[in-house]
Amino acid sequence: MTTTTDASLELPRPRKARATGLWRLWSSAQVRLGVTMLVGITILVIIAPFLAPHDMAAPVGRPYAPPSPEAWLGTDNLGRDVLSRVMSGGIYLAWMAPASALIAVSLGAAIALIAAYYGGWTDLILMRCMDVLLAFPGILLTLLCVSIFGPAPPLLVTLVVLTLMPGVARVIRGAALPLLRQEYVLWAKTVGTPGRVIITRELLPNVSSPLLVELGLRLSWSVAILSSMSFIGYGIQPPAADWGLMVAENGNGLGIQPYAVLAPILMIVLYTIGGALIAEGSARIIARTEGEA
Amino acid sequence: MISAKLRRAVAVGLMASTALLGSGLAALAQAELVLGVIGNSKDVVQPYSPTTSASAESLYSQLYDNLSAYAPDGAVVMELAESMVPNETLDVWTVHLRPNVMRHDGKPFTADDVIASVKYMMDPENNFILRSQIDFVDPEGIRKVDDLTVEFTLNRPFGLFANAFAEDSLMMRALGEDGEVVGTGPFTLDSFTPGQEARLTRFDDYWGDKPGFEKLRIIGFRDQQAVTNALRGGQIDVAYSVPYTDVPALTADPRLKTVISGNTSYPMLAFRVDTEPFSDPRVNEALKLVVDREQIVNNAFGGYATVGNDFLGNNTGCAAPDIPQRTQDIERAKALLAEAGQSDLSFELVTDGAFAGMMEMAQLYAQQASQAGITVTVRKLDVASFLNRWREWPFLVSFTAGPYEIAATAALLPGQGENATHFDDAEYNELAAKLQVEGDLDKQCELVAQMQAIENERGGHIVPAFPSNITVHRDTVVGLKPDLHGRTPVEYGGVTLNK
Repeated sequence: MTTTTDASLELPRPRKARATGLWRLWSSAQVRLGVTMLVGITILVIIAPFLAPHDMAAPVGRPYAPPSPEAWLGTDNLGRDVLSRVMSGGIYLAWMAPASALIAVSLGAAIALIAAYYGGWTDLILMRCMDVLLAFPGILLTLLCVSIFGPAPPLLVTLVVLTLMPGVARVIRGAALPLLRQEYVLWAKTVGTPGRVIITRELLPNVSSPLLVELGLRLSWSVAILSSMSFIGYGIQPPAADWGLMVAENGNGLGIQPYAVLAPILMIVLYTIGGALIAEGSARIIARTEGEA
Repeated sequence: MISAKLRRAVAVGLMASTALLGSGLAALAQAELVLGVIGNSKDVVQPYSPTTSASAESLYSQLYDNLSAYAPDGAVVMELAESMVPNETLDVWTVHLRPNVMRHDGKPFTADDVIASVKYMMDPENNFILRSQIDFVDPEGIRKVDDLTVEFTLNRPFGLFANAFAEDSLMMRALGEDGEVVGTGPFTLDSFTPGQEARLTRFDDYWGDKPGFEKLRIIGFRDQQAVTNALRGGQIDVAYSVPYTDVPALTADPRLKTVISGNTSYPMLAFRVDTEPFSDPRVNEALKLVVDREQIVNNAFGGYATVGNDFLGNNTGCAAPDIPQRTQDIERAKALLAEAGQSDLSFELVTDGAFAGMMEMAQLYAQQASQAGITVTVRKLDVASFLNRWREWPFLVSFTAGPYEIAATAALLPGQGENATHFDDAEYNELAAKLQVEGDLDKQCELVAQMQAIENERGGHIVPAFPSNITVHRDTVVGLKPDLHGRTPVEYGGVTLNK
């Protein structure tokens, strides 16, 4: 009598590389500061309608009036309260920037991992598509699409995603390729684990560190791109309050009422710095962790 | 004895000086004025098109002339025509042309060109809006008397013949031997990219007051902000228009100057009175009652305006109609809307923001209407997309230009191409017909007052303000003149450049 034994069952499962937990990232002062800034700004824009001294759309004085007890930061080009508009002006960024970054990173990572794992034609086709998107100027794509379909927020998010996704895919594919030679991946392949399972259970957790860095980085990029779209008139449309739009609307009054421009710029800078701090802090923690490993 | 080295140095110095002087003189002779305007990609070179735009008007002003025209003070004057003489019954007009007017192709402008122009602009197949403005002309009744005389036999008596042909859009053109459209204006066209740029050279055989500079470039921008930035940055010399609220900031720059004048051109809100729910008189009144006109004067037009009362026609020379000034009454508006079953009225307000004050007025109206529970969504389109559906938008920011007898009838009579509100009021139509054949000025004013009162009550126009015309230019441009018809930035007769 012969006994057949599945040899793979006898192989010891290799130890996986240690993934950096979120708690470890939180130990970074930079990450904590960045998260605090983003959360603080998000809370501010959410509760702005209850805290703002005036209706953000209603004129409270003459155009470009200087700061006064009635309007602490003066008025804008239509005589609206700058403070109230600054407080409300991040409401679009508060959801569009994180949504854009999250979707871009998710899709970019998915494409990168599929391309890296399956290789061959799959890799070639997917990454060439990413290269085409990467090579196509984002601003042209924006002008084209917004001119045709109008500046609806979902479209703007889609455009930002298309702009950011190829870069994410490039980075994550680069991070995933060395993992394919790791023992635990080879073991999973040997025992016949389906590709999608290997991608989600073996590869994805081990690229989570660069993914988190990408997320913070792309969040900053999203803020910059969305604000730029509003600034050039292809983003959020008047009379909505939006920081980028405020800069564009009040740019000509910079000489006589600078607060109408500087206040929204400050908010964009703070939001961008928040994202950048998270990315920078995450990168440092990951580097330190990999050094320890 | 002068050394060879010294002689060589002097020679080189003289050559360099000559070259510099030559290039300086050449630059002076080739001095170029740059005009900034919001561009429309659908602009065409010939002066008749289904729609018009600020960029097209800027170009046409340089290339073509009218038979008659409005002077800067509003008076009707002769341009390509020397005189226009009616018969006693006002149904036959004889137009005597100015002699020695040259076309850009070097040929004289004659009666044949007038006849061809008028017949072309009136051809139903071409579907030009301006056709309806001269519907009193019978194309078959136009006769050449001699090279400089044309006789128009009208299909009905019409006393405002010279006024009608003074309308900016009724320009004369000619066809060259190569089939190209040529004009008689102060500039000839070198190159043209619709919506982006037109380059022109002064026409030295121009019959009228010539510009004091050689070259003109018209640059098309996307929006008002871009035009203003270009002016501030020195990319352009003259802005076709700038946001009124930016004027104080712009004039704080000592290199920028302004020309302020009265104005017969202004934006207004317009809604279709033939379409639900705007066809309901209660909704019509409510939409007008939500307007805080003082706020629009001060915050949309920076105080450079007077309060309007929902009828066209400031600067008519006639007294305003004896009707109450409409003021904001939110409670009354709410009550009317509730009565009409439209308490949650919601609509889109469409504009291209092509003229100063349009976007600002739209935003303020949206905010003011919200106080009465009306939700107004402001939608800004590019010029071409907006103009393509000009008569379709239910609620839009419209624009009017010209004196009342022409502008109001073009915008308020049935079948007129500019009637975006689709207004068709029997009483108004009858008064307009009387106005067109009335020669007595006092009686004209009586008719205008009655028409304006009807507009105020039943019309689809909300006219919150009559803004002034403000042209901002760099101090290197000298001689721009105030103009009641808003042509200050595009009229260059006698204008010089000190670049």
